[in-house]
Amino acid sequence: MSPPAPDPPAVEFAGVNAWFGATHVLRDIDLAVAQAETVVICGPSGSGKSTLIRAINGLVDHQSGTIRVAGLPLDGSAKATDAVRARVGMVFQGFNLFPHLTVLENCTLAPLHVRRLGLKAARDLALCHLDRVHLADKADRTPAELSGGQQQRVAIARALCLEPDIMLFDEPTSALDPEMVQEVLDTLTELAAGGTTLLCVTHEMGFARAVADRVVFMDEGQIVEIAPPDAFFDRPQHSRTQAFLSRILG
Amino acid sequence: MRSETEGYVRKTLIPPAPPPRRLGGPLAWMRTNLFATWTDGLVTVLILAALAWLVPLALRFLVLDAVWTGTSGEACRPEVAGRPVGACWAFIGGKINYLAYGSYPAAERWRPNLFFALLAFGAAWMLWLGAPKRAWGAAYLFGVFPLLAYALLAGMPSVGLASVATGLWGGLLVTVVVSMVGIVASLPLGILLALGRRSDWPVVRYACIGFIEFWRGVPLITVLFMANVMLPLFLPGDVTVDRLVRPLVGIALFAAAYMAEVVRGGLQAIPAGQMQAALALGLTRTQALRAVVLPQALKIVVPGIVNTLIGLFKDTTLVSIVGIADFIRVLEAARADPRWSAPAVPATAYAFAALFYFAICFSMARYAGFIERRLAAGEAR
Repeated sequence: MSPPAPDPPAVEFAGVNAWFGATHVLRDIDLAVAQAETVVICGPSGSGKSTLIRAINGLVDHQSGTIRVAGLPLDGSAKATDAVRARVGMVFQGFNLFPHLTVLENCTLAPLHVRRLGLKAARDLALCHLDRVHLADKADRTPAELSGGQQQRVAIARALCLEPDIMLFDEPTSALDPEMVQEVLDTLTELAAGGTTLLCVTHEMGFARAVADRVVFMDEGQIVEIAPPDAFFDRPQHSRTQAFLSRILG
Repeated sequence: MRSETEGYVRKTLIPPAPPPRRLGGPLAWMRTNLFATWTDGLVTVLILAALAWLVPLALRFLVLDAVWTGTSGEACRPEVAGRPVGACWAFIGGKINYLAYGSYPAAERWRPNLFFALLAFGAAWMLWLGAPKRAWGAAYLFGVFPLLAYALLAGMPSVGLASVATGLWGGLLVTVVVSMVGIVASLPLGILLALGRRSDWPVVRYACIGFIEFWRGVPLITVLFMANVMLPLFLPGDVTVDRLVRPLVGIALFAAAYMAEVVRGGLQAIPAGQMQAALALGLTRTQALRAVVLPQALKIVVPGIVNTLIGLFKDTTLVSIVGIADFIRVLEAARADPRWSAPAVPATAYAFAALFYFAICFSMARYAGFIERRLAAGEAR
């Protein structure tokens, strides 16, 4: 899938490098994600997948190269970071719901404080997105009362309440019991079909093959291979990709 | 055996059954809880024996042999009363105004009374969870009330309230003022210091570490003497600080340092993912702290905060050493009054002080326990 010419890419990395202390965690990353595209990022643990998507909303700083999100450059200034974060939703492996707030309050936090909506508008918005993940009836519960799969869907609804252009998923199903993985993947599939730009770190290869427009394979902080899912799974080019796929697909 | 465990398919599902009834009565309870083993039995007997010895002694001194009425120490002398004499509560009754207000002018005592009433109103508003508009209660208690209290107690000649020098304040009034200022100042200051200590900005971080370690490393007595004796040496000659304000500042900063470490413990217990999730939602760092991290962190450290506040409340007795007429100091002065000289008076004074401080500290602990249970119930509902 090639990006439509007039629009800027949703996310654009150009020569990005990042270090944690002395560790070189992102090495010369070049990547452009088109609007409405779904990109799955995979690779062995410690390969820089999470770091890559955390660089997109400034949770991780990069030391060289440029990252543009919907045309806005992340230059390290608080203003640019805030502008980008307001357009990017993120879902974490460990859900990271706020345990002292109800499900509804988790979802209205950003609309109230970031988008400055009124209480009524924020509630309506939150209920609309909770309904989208089929959890509107749990609005007044606390996160601890929900199952893992439900918590992760609340986390998705919470991110959607920003009405973001781009959604980032950092291993959204890795902390779930097997029987709850599918409900979260179904939500992701609906999102991808709805036209949201989606970057997802995951080990769910079935999901990648079915939903992704492109698959990015990373190892040791570098992008090793980018391909459409059929080509990626059936005809991996790089020896590291082949080794990785043979390990996880058996 | 193998053949039995090799394969198995359940034919009927077992419905849930109620738990077995505990076997019974008080005798069985005593046997399992008090006398389960020889050691258990021995400990039980020893503790019961100690109670049987101490409780009647205390009861006889505090209640049975106590003297409740009288106008001077005469009433509490065994040879006058014609019986063994325990606590001389008549002494407390005779001195109650002095214990409450110190040397505050008698004609103006309605002012401390109004102050106590305003404080009780504000405290009830804030502490009673069902009260309407509790945010306004907090604004009143932390914003309006201190100004009212100052005008009321120190006086404001422009509205017809005569000035009353702080040197005349005393007793319960001073103890309440000192502890309230300590509590109201130390909690916010402690939170700021705790946040500062975790700041990414080295200047702020090291300044906060230095402040906390300095105040924690110096005994409170030293702080109070320094505030009293050394502070005037550092200030320009024409600037004087009120004798009551000096130890107040010392106590507030001292308590803030302890509070900061308690709050830091709570901050460290919150997973980094909470802050990351809040930032990813577009909240600023300040918004994330206020709405996400601090509410959870403070909730965890309620026991530590209350512990520090109880310590602070009792530490206020040390201001008596630098000449402030707090509750302990006026009690000491009262018991030295020759009109009330009787053998039982010193013991009565100290018993009264112990009961007074215990009642307040225990109430704080109970209230904190209630809050903790409420918060815990909210989380795991």
